[in-house]
Amino acid sequence: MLIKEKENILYLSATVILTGVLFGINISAQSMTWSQDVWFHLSRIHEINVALSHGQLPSMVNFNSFSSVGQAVNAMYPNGTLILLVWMTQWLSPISQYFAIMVIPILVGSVCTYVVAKRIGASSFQAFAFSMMISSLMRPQFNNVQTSLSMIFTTYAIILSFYALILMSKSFNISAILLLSIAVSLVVNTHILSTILLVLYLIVLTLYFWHQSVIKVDMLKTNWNCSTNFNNTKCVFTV
Amino acid sequence: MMGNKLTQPFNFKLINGTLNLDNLFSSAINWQYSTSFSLFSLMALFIICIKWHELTTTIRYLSIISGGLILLMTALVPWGALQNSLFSIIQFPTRFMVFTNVTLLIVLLLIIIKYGNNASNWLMIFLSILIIGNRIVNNWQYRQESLVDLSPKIYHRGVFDLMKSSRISNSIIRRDDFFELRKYPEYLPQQSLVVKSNRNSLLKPDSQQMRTFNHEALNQGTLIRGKKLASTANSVTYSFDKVKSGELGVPFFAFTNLNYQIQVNNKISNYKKNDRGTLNVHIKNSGEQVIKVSLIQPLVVKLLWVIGLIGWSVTFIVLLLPKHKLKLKSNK
Repeated sequence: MLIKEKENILYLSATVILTGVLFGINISAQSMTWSQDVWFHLSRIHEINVALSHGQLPSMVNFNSFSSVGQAVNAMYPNGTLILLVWMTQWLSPISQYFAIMVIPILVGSVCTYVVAKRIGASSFQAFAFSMMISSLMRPQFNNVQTSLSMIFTTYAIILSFYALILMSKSFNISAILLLSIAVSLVVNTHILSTILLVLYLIVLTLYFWHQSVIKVDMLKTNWNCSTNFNNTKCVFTV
Repeated sequence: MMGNKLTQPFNFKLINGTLNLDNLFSSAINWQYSTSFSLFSLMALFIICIKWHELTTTIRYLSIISGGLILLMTALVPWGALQNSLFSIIQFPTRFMVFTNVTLLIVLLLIIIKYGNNASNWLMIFLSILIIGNRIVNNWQYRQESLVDLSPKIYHRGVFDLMKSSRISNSIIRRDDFFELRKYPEYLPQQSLVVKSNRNSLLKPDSQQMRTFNHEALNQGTLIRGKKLASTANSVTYSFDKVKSGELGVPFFAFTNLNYQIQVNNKISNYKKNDRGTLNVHIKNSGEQVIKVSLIQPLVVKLLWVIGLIGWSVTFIVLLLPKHKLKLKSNK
């Protein structure tokens, strides 16, 4: 188990603390930069805040934001992941909540990144370095723009999907299929357009892993002999 | 979205969202860019170039994908010709940047596993902290010293330069009218446009949509202004003074596949979807009218929520079960 190794605990803690401190400092801010995009996302958060505070789930159209005229931004921005994040941060002031909603997935994603790096053969120190490099892709707010929630989820979904595809190419692995589905569903529940691009990207990646797949051969054998035991398929990933 | 015939974000000039070599590389160290090439991606590209013959097939394939993605973000693709096609929904080709960066960083990890040493790991960690820290400190200082607070005059006029930022505080966000400040023209019924074949100019609603945003209702050929009284998660209540009996166009956007409930002075009333993308109700008696609009949540949406929640929960539980190990035996 990862958590049982002392070295892992050290580097995993360093990943969480460094990422948490660097990105979390914005949660203490009393002011924020804003323009079109920030107003748009603050409005989405407000809509969910109001619904949750009344013990309800938000509606398909906007009743409390965007001038309360029934706009349908959820058509492009499904709010599954945002509902969870808003629920976790409801007790914060609006600005702190806005930043906390970005920081939580970055923190969880950093841990996932660390674990994936370890599983594909990196040492604990290399996994720590990789996790920090991925964190450095996240842009905190500048003027109107920043790394959006959909980009944050897409980043970590690519890493999880990459690992799931490696696993699936080595053996028939239900857990890997579930991991892939979780990764994609996080993006589906955040931004439709990012999902389309992610799926196109994963198709290109899958073509390679299918070509390299060990079980592709096994599956052909299965069709021929009906006797292959997938559990005995050897799992080796050479970088 | 298309089934409901919504206005879509078609109006960003694709060609303006491409990269040339200059901003591709300079964005890696410029803290003001929102979408930038990572410094680590640059390193990965450099190593790929000098060690190509020693790289494994996996790294080479990922490198080719990255190269393809970089090409997609440049003007070498005829983005101008795709402006009026379905592709324009991506708004800016630099959307591929996140895929490029992550792919190249995975390549860099695989290279580090093969060739890296402690010094290279320390360098990566040091640079990461420097990049994240600098951006946060620079932005913090910029916000405090270079930006001005949103002025009350601009706030009340509601006229903003879309690309110009200012500074806001918690008290501004908590104001009741904060979420009415801007009128957002995307994801509205296409019928709400005056000329149906038109597209909204960049992030600005057209005149007919603007009337709905301003809670203006058409009553027997006259425009009357209403005001919002209250809203819940699934309803909004408006009041209108001096309404004449007859048809009233309620300023609430109505989508093709959704059904609503309207109450006029606490009584459920029949409604029709009109050709302006809003709702019409019949008013029996002249005078002040309190109109409440609610959405009838489709059964399929409720079912999807339940199936989705069960699916996520079951998947997480299965993944956490000890016998389901997501492990890969390494030959390292």
